[in-house]
Amino acid sequence: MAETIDPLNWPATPSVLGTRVKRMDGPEKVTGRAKYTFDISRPRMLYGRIVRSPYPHARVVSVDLTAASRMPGVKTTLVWRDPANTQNNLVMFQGDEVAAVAADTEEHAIDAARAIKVEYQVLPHVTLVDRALAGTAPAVFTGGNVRAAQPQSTGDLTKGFGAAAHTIEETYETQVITHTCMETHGTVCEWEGERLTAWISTQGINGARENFASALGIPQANVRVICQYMGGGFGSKALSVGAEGLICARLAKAANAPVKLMLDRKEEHLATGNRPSATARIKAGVSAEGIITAFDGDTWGTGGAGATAGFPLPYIYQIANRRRAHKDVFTNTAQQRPMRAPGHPQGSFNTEIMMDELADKVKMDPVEFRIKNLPPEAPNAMWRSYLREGAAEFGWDKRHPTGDKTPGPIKTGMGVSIHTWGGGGRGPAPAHCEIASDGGVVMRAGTQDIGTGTRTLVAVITADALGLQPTQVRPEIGDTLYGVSPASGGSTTAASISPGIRVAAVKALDALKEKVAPSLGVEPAALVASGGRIHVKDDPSKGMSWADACKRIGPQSITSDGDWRPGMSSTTTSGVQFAEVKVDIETGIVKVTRVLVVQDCGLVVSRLTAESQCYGGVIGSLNFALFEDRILDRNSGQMVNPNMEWYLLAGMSDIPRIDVRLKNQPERGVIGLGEPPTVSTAAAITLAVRNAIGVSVRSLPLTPARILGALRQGIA
Amino acid sequence: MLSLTSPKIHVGVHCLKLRTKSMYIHAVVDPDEATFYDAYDNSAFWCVSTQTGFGPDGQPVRPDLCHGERGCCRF
Amino acid sequence: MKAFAYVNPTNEKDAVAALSPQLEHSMPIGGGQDLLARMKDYVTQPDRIVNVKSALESTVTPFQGGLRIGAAMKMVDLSEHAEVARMYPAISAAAIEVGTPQIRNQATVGGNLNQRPRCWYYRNEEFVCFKKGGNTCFSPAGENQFHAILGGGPSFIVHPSSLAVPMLAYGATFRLSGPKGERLVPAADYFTLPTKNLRTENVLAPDELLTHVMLPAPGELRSGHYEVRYKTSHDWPIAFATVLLSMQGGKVRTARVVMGAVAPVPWRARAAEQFLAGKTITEATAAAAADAALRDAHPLSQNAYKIEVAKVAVKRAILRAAGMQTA
Ligand SMILES: Cc1cc2nc3c(=O)[nH]c(=O)nc-3n(C[C@H](O)[C@H](O)[C@H](O)COP(=O)(O)OP(=O)(O)OC[C@H]3O[C@@H](n4cnc5c(N)ncnc54)[C@H](O)[C@@H]3O)c2cc1C
Repeated sequence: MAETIDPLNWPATPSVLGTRVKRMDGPEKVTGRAKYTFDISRPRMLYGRIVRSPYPHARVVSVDLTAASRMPGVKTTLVWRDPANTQNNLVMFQGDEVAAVAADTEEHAIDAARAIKVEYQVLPHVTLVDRALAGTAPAVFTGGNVRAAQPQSTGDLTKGFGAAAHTIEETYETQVITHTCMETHGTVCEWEGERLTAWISTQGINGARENFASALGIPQANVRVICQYMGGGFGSKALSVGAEGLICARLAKAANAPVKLMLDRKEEHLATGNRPSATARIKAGVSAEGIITAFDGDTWGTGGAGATAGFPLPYIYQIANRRRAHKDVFTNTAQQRPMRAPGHPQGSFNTEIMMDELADKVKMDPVEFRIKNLPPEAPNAMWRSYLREGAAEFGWDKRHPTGDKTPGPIKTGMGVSIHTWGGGGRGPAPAHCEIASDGGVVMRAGTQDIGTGTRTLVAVITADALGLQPTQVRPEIGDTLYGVSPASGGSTTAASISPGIRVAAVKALDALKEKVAPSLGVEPAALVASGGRIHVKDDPSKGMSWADACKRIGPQSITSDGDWRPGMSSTTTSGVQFAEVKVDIETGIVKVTRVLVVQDCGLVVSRLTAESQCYGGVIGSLNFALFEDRILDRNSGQMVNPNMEWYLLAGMSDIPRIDVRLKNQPERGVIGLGEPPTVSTAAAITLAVRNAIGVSVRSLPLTPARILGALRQGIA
Repeated sequence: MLSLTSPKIHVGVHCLKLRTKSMYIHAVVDPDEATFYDAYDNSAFWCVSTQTGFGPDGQPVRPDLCHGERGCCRF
Repeated sequence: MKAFAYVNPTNEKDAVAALSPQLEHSMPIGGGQDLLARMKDYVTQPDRIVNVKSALESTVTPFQGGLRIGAAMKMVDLSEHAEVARMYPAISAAAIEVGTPQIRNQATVGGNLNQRPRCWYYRNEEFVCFKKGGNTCFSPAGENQFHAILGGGPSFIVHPSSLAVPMLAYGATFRLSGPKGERLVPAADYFTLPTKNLRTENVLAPDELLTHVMLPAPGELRSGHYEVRYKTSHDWPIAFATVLLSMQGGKVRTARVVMGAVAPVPWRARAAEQFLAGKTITEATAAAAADAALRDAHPLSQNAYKIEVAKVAVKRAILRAAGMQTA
């Protein structure tokens, strides 16, 4: 039976798709020509600055703007938390917004903000999760500081534990970390009458447009949002425009001048979101054959002031008899925001450490033990194959059992962990293609590049369809004038926008073929585009160059539109990661020496940028494992490390060799990849540490204090 | 009950100003996901009027808190 | 940032004259790596800053069989100086580990020795601690994982300077210049405990400059320097040590053991020095000396691990001084 090939669908023999195309905007970025929101400068532009609460919980008693208004360069001031509004004069976390100012220079704005006198009535706060749980913290939140979710249970726990040959009972925990975007949150707002143009560091220009319009009570049609380049969001820029965005727009309106309001590093740590903590007290049982028979978990975490903190648990492995009860703990800290694979790194860590502890009970290799407890293999569940393949590549056979017995303080170990993520997107995600008589190709979409390389992806798909090089395509994105498109989050961008781009490009090519066919004396359908030429299929000599072909277009360019359609994208990726570490058991210092990533993402569209997501994901997760920690003073509830000095992040020399094995699944179509590679590295590293030192470390980050503490306990 | 893009927020039940990420992102849900882990809730919510996770009344916003009782709710 | 005047004197006398006896009123600036950060964070708010880079020497010169280092010398130049490396290898070893290349390219020897604590309570303006004229130290009841395990109280900062430790070990003398002329203060007397001086970490008066470091002839010394760092760069050591051994036959005649990042001053471990005298260096004697060095350590609620880490630093510095391999 001959299959009918849909020409709009992905090509069976791609030319550019899946190849290693250099990031289109690399030169712009490294030369500083790329304009981030931080770099936007407008005529008469003012600088905004926010006054924030230094206390985690307080009532704003008064805000005195007199002195600030008289400061040099001050154009306007604004009260965000009105003391007179008894309904809404509380600050709920350190960094909560109170007032703002706009002045002619950044320095004047900072000085003026400090001159705004705010009087606070400091209220009792809750920042310690343990106290909130124990009920010994001050009651801050209406309805209680702790909210229990509906317990979940499946199967028969008693039976499950009855079938167990061994049980373990342990508590695992991950910490609160912040997104720490290189480019802080911020906006430049410029009004023209009732029309607003906003340059904002955002993961969703169209979402930002709707948020600005709804919050300001103006038509969406009056708002244009631009974000050509952005320095990282990791989820924290995928939601609202933030109080800072709204304040910026209001200041600009009041001052009748453009206002730029970029947060500083301390504000970024305090007020723009975080990854919730996750604690799991688990009792689990395993049969002599290595099947996990029962899982009983009590879990909790804090997502800040009134926000949720759920995470998946148990993560991926099949446990027939299980129970789980979760509690969200509300604290006087900034609310969480989605952070790169929300919930999964926590679920992965809290499950995977348990996995190796169970594997040791039944004296099974961790890879084999995992394979025994996995769901059946399927295109969206490839862990078995990847575990085997990765183990061979990584040299897993050289892994020693738990505890490196070689003499000396430096111990080596290996660990493995797995993950899943959706990454399926859909439309509407329209794309618009233009081919001009000068040969120029524009592909336009209202999407945005959040640093993942979307611009390159757009060019790759277009070039592939038109038989051109990606550099011959001009991608136009990052501006709401280019149309509606989804926000970039949940790793959905590639899967959402790629089909529409392909469709628009193929349709444009069809139109071009119509123009060219007569002069070649063939039917348009007989033509193909490849190698920069339009020619008769199977006879490249019978055709013409792209430039010559386009000359036949005439003064009015070819235009075409495409949108997402089913069948060209899919959802759910599988990934496996291996890590190798060296641990100095005398100092507790961990050095990650190698990480191997085995990862699929459906059809590999842009190989280099895909690999780059894996590198970035691994590095992010290494930071989660070893370094990052939002540390609050236990007494005052204030953050002691709101900087990049004591909020530690890996430098070049802390980053290991990372090998990436991208698995191509072209038949599944496009699936996103931004999040999955950051899920399981932390667990793999921690398990490698366990394998090296012979004892488990059950909470992150893996500080020398924790490593030495675990060793001391393990030996005792 | 008409569901908005977010399965967690329903027109007529929840305040029209309540927002969550999935309203702006069209994620495709894989039915097999349910075999990899049980449901969990970690969505962040915000009020479109304040652009923060707190409503005009200073209280946190969430579906279980934004369904009519509060003076600031709009339908 | 508070507005300030900037003075750029070209000689020592003018520089000193531009200072003021009032604390944090008119302050010298070297590379500004510490001072500017404190000013931006509203921790220190001087009315005037006095650039000492054109006023003070920035070279190394031979001096009474040893070397004399100008306080305006950049850390990068110090770390690359061949004579310093030959005669005082622990100083080179300490200098090369400081901060990052960017920091070392700016920072000066005088600034490094006089930099203020990195304690996170001191560095965040929300916390008005002893060091900022307040009446408490927040660390004992708070977050103290990087705080002092020796010599602490009532403030529990650790001295931040990497250079101070080997300087003390080599018996450096600091030349200070003030309105009444110069004075020479041995490094051992320069750094002061909080019990003696709560606001600042040394005997330097607000209107004095540190102009030179004088290092005596080293003699036949073997040296070892070991730093335990969490990250490999852009970070602070958890604990570190400089060890100098003068040997006789296969045995230690005299030893100098100084630890850093463990106390409010560079901490000389006399018990370890005494223990080492007359011993042959082995893993066991080095470990025993390290135990002696930390015998009087008192951990706070979260920094007991630093005692272990400091022991390792001392042990490995001893082994390195004895020419043995360490991790
Ligand atoms: C992430 C990070 C990691 C770091 N790691 C380390 C490390 O491991 N080890 C380490 O030692 N340092 C480290 N540093 C600190 C850095 O080395 C110091 O800030 C720097 O050496 C200070 O030198 P400077 O010349 O820039 O000092 P300045 O900032 O110019 O001055 C510092 C202080 O000394 C005073 N001062 C300057 N010169 C004189 C003088 N001649 N006489 C009297 N007083 C003077 C100033 O008034 C000021 O109070 C680190 C810094 C950072 C940000």
